[in-house]
Amino acid sequence: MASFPRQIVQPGKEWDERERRGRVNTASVVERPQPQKRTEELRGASVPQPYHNEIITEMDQEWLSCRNYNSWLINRSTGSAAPIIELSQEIQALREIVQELSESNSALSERVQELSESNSALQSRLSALEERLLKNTTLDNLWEISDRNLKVLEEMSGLTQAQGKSTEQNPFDRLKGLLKEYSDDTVDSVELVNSVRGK
Amino acid sequence: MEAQLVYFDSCMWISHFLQENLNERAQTVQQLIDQIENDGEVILVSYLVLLEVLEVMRKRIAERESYTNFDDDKKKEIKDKVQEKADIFLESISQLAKDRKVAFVNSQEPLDKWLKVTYSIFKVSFGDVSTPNYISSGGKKNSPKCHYKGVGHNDIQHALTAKEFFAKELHTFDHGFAELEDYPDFRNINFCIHE
Repeated sequence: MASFPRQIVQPGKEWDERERRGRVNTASVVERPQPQKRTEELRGASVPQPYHNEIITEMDQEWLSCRNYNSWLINRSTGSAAPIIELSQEIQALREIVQELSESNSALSERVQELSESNSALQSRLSALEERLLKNTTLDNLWEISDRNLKVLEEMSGLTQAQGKSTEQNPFDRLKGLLKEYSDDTVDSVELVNSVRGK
Repeated sequence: MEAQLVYFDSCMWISHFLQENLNERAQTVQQLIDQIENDGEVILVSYLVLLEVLEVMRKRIAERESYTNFDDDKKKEIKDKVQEKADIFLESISQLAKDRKVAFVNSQEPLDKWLKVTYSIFKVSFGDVSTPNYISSGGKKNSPKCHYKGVGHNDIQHALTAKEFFAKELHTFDHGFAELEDYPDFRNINFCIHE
């Protein structure tokens, strides 16, 4: 895994900074010429002082001409041949990250799909259980509802007194042909019912 | 094992009362009743069915009476006859309910919800518009009028009652109920539309 974010430092500015520090060190510690030597090492060759500023300017412009130089959090703050290697390493690291993320994303998508299917199954199961519960409750109350309605109907219709007249005849048979004297070959029960349904 | 419930549309009862000849409907009803009794099933009778049946009885008895010598006595005679038949019907239903062969039900939903659901189904259903046969009367030719035929709010409420009480079947001779067969709310009801 790449460690980021790291601050991007424009190479030219680092050069300036290093030069500044080098000059300060040179001025204050006479016996320690290492900064100057290090600068030369970083540049890869000794550069005559008159061309020094010119080279820095050229590198600055080269940096600035890079397209989207500030769009990634990639450490380009090197001052030698090392940036190409580091950049390659970071690109490789980023590629690995992208690959890992892609695989992770794919795995997550599969998991989301699984969870979605599981959720649907649970919802169906829940609906079925709710319906079953409702059905059981309704059926448990069926005769209570029926008896209550019947009691009201009997009271309103004066049927209570008629109980004593209850016959042994099967009520379905008693109803069979109840209106036979009002029937004929053309009678249509659907039309009769539709006539009271306002159709 | 819980009793299976079946819903009889009003026309099934009327057909049984009239012993309707058309398509041997009376026999169809009798066979159903026999089967239901044998299987220990229960017929649902709703208030809506009760009211429709009583109303058909009133109309049919009155319409079949001769109007010669029509006077107040005749009117009373018709009324008494209607009452007599209605009493037999109600007594029989009452006895059947006590014998647990019929359950006398009404929707337990609040009225506003009941009407709202009825409307929601009515709104999305639309039957068929047709042009009936050309009619001429009294020598004057009438231009043919379009005729709408489709499920009405009463039909929807019968189906809703059947659904609320988990009826496995709704028996009817009315083909208008076919419109409700595909409606998701009624997916658990088998609409048995007899000829």
